[in-house]
Amino acid sequence: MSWVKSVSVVSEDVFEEDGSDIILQNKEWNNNMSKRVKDGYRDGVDAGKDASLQRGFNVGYREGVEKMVAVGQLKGILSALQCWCQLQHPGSPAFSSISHLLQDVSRHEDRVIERMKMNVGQQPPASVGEITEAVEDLQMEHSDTGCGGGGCSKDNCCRKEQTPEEGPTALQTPCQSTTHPTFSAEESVEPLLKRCMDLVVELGLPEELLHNLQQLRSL
Amino acid sequence: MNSETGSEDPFDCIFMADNRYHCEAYKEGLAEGTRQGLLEGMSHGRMHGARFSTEMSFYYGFACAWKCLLQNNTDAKSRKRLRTLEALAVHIQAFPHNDPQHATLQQEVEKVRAKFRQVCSMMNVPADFREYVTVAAGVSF
Amino acid sequence: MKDTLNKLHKFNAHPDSRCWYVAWNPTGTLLASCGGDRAIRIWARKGDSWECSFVLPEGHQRTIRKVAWSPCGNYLASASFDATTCIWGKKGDDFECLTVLEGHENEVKCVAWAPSGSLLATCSRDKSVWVWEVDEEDEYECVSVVNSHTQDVKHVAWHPTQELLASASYDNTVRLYKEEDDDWLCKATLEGHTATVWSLAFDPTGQMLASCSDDQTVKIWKVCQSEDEQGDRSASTGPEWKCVCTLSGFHSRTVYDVAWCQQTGLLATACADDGVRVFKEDTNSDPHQTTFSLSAHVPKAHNQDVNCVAWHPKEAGLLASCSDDGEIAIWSYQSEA
Repeated sequence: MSWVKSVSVVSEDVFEEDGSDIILQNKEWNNNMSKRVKDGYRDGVDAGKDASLQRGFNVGYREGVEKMVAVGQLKGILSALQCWCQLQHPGSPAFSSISHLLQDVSRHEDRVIERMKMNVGQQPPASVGEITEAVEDLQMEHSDTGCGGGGCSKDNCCRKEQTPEEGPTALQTPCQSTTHPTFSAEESVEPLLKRCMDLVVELGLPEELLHNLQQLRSL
Repeated sequence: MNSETGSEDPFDCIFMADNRYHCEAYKEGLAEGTRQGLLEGMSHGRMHGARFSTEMSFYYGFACAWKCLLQNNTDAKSRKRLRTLEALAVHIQAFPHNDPQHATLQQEVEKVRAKFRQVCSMMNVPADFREYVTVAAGVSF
Repeated sequence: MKDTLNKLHKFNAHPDSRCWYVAWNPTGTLLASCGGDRAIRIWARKGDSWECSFVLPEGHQRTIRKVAWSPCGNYLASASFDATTCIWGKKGDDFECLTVLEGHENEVKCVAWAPSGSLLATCSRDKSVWVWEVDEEDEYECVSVVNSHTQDVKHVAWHPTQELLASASYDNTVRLYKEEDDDWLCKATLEGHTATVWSLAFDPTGQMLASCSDDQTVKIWKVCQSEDEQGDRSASTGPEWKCVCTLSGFHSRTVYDVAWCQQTGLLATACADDGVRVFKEDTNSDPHQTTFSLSAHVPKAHNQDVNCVAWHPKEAGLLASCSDDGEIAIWSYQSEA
């Protein structure tokens, strides 16, 4: 906040009274101004947060949704196979193969979720690009309508732009990008999908299941 | 206060300065708040989206797999089950999954859950996939 | 209040436990009761007293909240806090459990047969209402799960002539359901009670629905045909149910149950103030503003909360009630006229 220091320069121009008073008044003026600055900053943080939380939430939400689709569906498929196997061929070795794979898939899912939990409140390394983009986006909007022009009256000027429209102007986030950094190799669901496909072939289950699994691969 | 006509009045200058500092600080705070809000929102959104998707995707995979397993059965019971499985898949796809602010989201989710439970009952599957649908403990009559 | 309820019998049906509910079989020869002791007992009149004819084998792990006879009278369904519903049937001289309906996540609060006997509804603390279909081989299959209440569902009841289902809930509402495209959908929500709706009952004609609540009132809802009879609106949403009467000021505590007498149209209530009351519709009452009068009141009908009232299906004015003290009482309604 380098421009705070300029306060004293301005004040000297304004008050032309005797020395001691000036010092006192300067002090008071400085105090007032620094309080105004603090208040302004705090109000700004609050307003900025209010305006951006939901947007951030939406962006993150989309990311979270896409991240879990493949593993979630795989888990559903295996659970169905497990139930089916239990009803049709109780005690067969196929049942234990399915159960085993299902356990691994569940563990994988837990790990992914756990990692996300650890990121709550921290800067998620995954989305720096998106954040930068989002911040720029919001700042653009603010500088258009903010208090850059003169004659700002403190009660409304800085606030009137605090309802950025959602919808078409909202962030266009490239969540689907194939080189998404959050999908590190160890988190990949691919080996599990492969195992499931092998199992489907081995058990002679319907072709369509392979189709479904194949589709998950491309997600 | 009329700042436009009195720009030469020293008191107006004070007000101007007063406002300017407030505004400059406000802008700086706004940028920081925006950044924080986005980060915080994203973290929480990511968790919520992941949980939602985990549940819906599970149901979808479950329905699709059962459809595949039963597709060639022609008996009345299987036909009925297939219809219900199809209805579950349709319910799941009936609304956008990436919009946490979708107007009828909660309703749609409840419909999906209800259908899933019916499917479990029809398939004689013990519906112990309850991790998704937790109910508060307590006593009631 | 010129009429009286005379106590004919009182017996301890579920000693050291609560008696939650009683249900007459369709011919009125048997009265089934269930309680906190996880027991179902079936009572019959023997000469001047009531005797236990059957004790059903233990089928539930927890409290049995309600029982219901199938319209044919051959089956008895029981709803339990163990999350299951059992279907009992008579085999030889005894009742045995034929099927266990599973699916609810927790306490099943009520079970009710549709008049056709081919549908069964259950409801639970899990906020859902389930509709089950019974096929020729006595197999039960869930045809719908409806999650429209936002809280514990306390009671379900079928319309006497139409395939219309009503439910009452801790969310203060009554909801009505109809079948549509293979699914049961909530078609109406009756709002007005300010606390838990504990029970509801259709009158014999199906034109009225009584609901009772923790708010110490009973509300009477009536079918209102829309003004223009050819209205498309009523075709899609069905007729509207409107509250035509609120009985307030009569009960000093929660009203747990309501029952309409098939023959006389009398409305009985079971109240947590230990009283049993009977209301009568005023004959000259305006169809849009029905009024009811209290016609009989037994203040201390039981030693504790009265949980249920059930009119005999054939004998006009014969009423059974049961209570937290484990007792069942049989009453005879006597009109002064």
